[in-house]
Amino acid sequence: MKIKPLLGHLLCLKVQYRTLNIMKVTLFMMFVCAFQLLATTGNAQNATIELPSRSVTVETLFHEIEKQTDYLVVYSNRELNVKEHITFSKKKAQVYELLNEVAEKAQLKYEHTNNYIVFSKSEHAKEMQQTKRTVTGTVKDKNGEAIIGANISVKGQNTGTITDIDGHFSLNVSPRDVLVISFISYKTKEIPVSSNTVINVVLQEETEVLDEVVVTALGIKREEKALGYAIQKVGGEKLAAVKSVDVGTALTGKIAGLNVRNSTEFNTSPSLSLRGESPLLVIDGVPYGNMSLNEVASDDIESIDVLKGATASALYGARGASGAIMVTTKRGSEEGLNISINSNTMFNSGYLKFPKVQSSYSGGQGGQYNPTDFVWGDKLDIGRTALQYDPYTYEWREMPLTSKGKNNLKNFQELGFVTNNNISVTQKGKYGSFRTSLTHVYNKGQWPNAKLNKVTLTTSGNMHYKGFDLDAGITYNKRFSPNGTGSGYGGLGYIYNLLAWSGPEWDVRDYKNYWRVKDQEQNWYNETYYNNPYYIANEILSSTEYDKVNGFASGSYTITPWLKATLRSGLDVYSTRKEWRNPIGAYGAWDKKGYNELQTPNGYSINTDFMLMANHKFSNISVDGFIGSNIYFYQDNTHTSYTKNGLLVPGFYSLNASVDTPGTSASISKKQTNSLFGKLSLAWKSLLFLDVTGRNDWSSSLPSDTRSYFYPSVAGSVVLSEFIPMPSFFDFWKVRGAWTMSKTDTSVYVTNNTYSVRFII
Amino acid sequence: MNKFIQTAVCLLSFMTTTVSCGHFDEINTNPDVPTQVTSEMLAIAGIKSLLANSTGKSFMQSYMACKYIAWGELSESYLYNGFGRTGLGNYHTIINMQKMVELSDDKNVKAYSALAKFVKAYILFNSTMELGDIPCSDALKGEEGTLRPKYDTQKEVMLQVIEDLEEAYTLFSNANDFKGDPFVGGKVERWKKIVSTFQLQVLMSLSKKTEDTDLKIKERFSQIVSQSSLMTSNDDNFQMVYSDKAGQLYPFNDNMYSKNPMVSSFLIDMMKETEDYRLFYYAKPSEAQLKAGVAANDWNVFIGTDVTQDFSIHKDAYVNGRFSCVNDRYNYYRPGEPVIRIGYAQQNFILAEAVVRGWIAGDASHYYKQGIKASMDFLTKYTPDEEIYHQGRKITPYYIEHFLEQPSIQLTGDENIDIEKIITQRYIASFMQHPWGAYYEYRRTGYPKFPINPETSLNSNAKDKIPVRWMYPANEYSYNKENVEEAVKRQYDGNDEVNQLMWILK
Repeated sequence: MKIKPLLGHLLCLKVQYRTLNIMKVTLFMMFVCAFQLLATTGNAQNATIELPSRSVTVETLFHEIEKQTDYLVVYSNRELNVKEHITFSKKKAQVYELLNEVAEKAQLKYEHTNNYIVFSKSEHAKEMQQTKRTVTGTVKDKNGEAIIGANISVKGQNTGTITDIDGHFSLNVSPRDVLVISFISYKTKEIPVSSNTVINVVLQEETEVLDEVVVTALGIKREEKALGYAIQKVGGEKLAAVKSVDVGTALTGKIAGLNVRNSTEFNTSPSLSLRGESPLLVIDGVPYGNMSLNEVASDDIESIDVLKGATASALYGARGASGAIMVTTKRGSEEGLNISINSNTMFNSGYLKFPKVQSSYSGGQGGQYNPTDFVWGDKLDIGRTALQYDPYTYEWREMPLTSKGKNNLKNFQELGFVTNNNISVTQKGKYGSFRTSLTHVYNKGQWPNAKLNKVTLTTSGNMHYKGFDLDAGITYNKRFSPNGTGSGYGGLGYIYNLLAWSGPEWDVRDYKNYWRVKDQEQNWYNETYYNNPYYIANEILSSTEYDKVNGFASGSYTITPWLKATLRSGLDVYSTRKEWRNPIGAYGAWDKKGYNELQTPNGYSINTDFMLMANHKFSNISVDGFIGSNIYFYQDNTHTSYTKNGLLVPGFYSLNASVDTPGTSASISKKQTNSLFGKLSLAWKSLLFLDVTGRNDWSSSLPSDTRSYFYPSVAGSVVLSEFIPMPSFFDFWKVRGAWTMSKTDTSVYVTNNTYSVRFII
Repeated sequence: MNKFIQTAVCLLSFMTTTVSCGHFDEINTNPDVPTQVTSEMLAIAGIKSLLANSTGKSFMQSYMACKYIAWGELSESYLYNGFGRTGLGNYHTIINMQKMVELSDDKNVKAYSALAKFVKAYILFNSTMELGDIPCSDALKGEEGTLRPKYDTQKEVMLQVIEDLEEAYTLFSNANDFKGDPFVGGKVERWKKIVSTFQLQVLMSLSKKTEDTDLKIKERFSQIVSQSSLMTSNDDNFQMVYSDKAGQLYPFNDNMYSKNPMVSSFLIDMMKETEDYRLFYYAKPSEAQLKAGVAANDWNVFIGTDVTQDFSIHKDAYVNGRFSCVNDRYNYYRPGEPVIRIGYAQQNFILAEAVVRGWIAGDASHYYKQGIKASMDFLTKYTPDEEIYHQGRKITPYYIEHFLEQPSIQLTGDENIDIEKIITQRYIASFMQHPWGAYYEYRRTGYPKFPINPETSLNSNAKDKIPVRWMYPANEYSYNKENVEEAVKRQYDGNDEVNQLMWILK
């Protein structure tokens, strides 16, 4: 039986303010429309106008005409390029003279009717357009090298040719035609023939096209088709559309192979499994040890790339053996100052499927009412009575057996909602950009006293100067929840208490006052195993307060055009305070005589990479490679203290209240891994690709004689659609394969041979 | 070119620093766990493992199987003779004992060696009583490389146990009092008594093998009785004493199952017949009878439950209060009572039986009555003098004298009848004591005659019998297959089943 929360009413307020850049007032002028209408002060076309200069744009001419006369000029954007400069014979002339010059230049004709001047295609021009003639040209790349075999086709027609060994081509076209020049891994260019007979084309390489570049291991961008392993990307705006408490929820269903299991319990993160295993989380190229998707605000995400399979993460070592989820956070993208405010509220409309239980028989056994944890009792609603507990007078008395509690679970629940508010400020200039963002999430769960507050503050920036790039960021996360009890099985689970272990003969709303004697006795009818649900919600508490800071700095320097060095270091520090308490008289909790426990797990992890990257293209073969080293270290400490044998004073929840000496324990665990790794990628003409990687780790958790271990991987792909002739509806066909060896080390302290020591009293 | 050299040098130096891993061993050492401890600590751990009891419902399992109580919550398999597998996990303690002796200083090495032998004998004895053949001589050699020990025959194991106990006794005789024993106080005099009483128990459990010339049961028994120091009162008991402190509360104290035990009619009828006041200390008046107006100190205030009935009948009685729960001291009196493993009362019953069997000379009746008296003394010592714990039927020395003179409990001189009476009294004295002790006695002698109902019995292969052993643990079949299968083959014809008779029962 699956229960999923339904996303009910969606109130989405999205307000964006942009400050205008006054330098570009001409933006106002750019409307994409077929026709433009301009006012005029009507006079005959013999009117004389004066232009600001002899050489003006057609647009300016029309503007002057309309300003100085009554005319309205009408034309088609497709036929007339108003941005074109025309040098007129004289500055001050009659309108018709100027219009003639325009018409001749653009090969249009104009008509004058009433106050309208309308430009349209002239017969002569139309005639011109039918004539076909030979057009020749050369196709080269940005280095001046000829591109052999580039495709030249005529848009909308079946004709075309390819360039020869010198990059030359020759085609029979009419001036109206548009040439489409394309070649694999270059940006396709469209050039209208118009009046040209020789067209030389320079094609730009395609690597800058963002939606075909993905971020791979170690934050290196590669073309998607160059990869021998599976990788999938999700853009940030898809994740920011609907914001839940954890960004992991937004990934549900978006990536093939990534299974997101969302929990219906309060304050429980979804569990992500990539092809059945848990992937590594990498943020801005740093594989932090203690971060989870819960700590990344939806509004800070630029994109998420998911690397699947072991090869894709052979370069993260043992930690990445199950694939990686790489999050790239936002940087400034547009010049100037940008402020963005987002607010999102979601109301929870309850369970998709409610567990159904009977409401005809009371709690008890053997057909008799009995306030135990079985529900095989007496028949309700037929006028029978039994000795029941009255929560208002705290006494047991004969009361009728009715099914007044049949909606207990529903009555106990409260309206749940999530609000997510974010403000971010970005500034981008010539030498870099800076971004800061503050997010606050408040989640009210369905149960009483189930609240979660989460604050994320991010500051990041990048700068570049000549060959040097620096990227750095720091994020602070704080999460606080006053009560996490109520979920799951056991004496503290709401659903079990209300549906499985008690009958429908008592109404939960009668028990809102949950004290019989304050801090000592709860107002409840059973004394063995479970409790008044309102008492659980407000008095049996497990609170968490969580602080986490993560930061990174990454610097890279281009030594020579083909050699680049990068140093990147990331650190995360967390500190938690968890507290459990139950009052005197709580059943199925930690101690019936009262309990208070304090736990403070904290720790940090550091990850540092140093890499040297080189790439060079030798005629048809391009070589890309890097070597690097990595040090990863983490430390986790916990200190726990708890009261023993009860609390001295009712209502005093503290370790100082312990009747016997409080118990205590502490633990620490540390691990360090040093690695050396390298990768070599070869590509032949962007059709054949080969990647070879190798990594050697030294791990502290292995015994010293087997401390070092090496594991390589190989991946290759062939773009078959370029070798084998394909029908035209086949855009692309690539075959790829990978072989990886993956090794993992052991957990910390496994190799120790020790005694376990515990206090005996 | 210059820049290239610079970066290459940088890179190389960086790489060399990463390769130095000298401090890795330090990182991988857990500072919160010791690699060395003291003998005292190991001694505490060893003794505690013998005396410790599980809490809550688990504590009551053996008493369900021995027909002392039924259970009101739901149908438990031990109620209906459903035996499963058992484990060999307590061998860990024997390894600790070896380390204890190794770490000992010269002054205490004899005492610790004696203790180690005693603990080893105790654990091996209990394991072989449960299963039959077990690994013994080949066991505990993991550090030397023996990861798959072979199984010794039960006779070999018993011989080893007996010999170890004799050595332990000798070592204790020559040793000094030692530290690290909060249960017995480290006093070798008391330990000697514990060892010798345990020896008697071991020998008596081999009562079917008196003809075996290697074991020499009768000879050893009489030698111990004549030469070794034996227990003289309840103060010598090997028992776990509880108190009102966190972690030291009585195992059944104040838990969620407190109302579930339902004292059996088997026990109640037995005790009503002889008007044994101990019934008021063991059981609680039933609510149904109290409501009906029966006085709390009336013999009829107890309603026993037929433990072999179908569970639905139990349930009905449970729901309507027509049963007697266990006495309030087991539920609400925090120190409860000590749980004896090797005791003075038990010793007396063993001696009585030995006299009846002709192993030793003496007055069986004397030992028999001493045993009953010891059990009653124990109860009065550890029960606070409050009405709710005995309903006014207090056991006084006068009452004990009067009880012991009753004709119904006297020994007759006929071996079988006397053994039955002795074992029956031993059964009554073992209520909530000697976990599984009463079961082993039933298994050996057939007394007291446990009620068996084939219709409700879960012992599917022999519905009219109580199972006589547990099956070997599943992980032995995973990790040590050849040896366990060989043991099963030579004992039980390849059939590892709960009704197969082990060597000591044949």
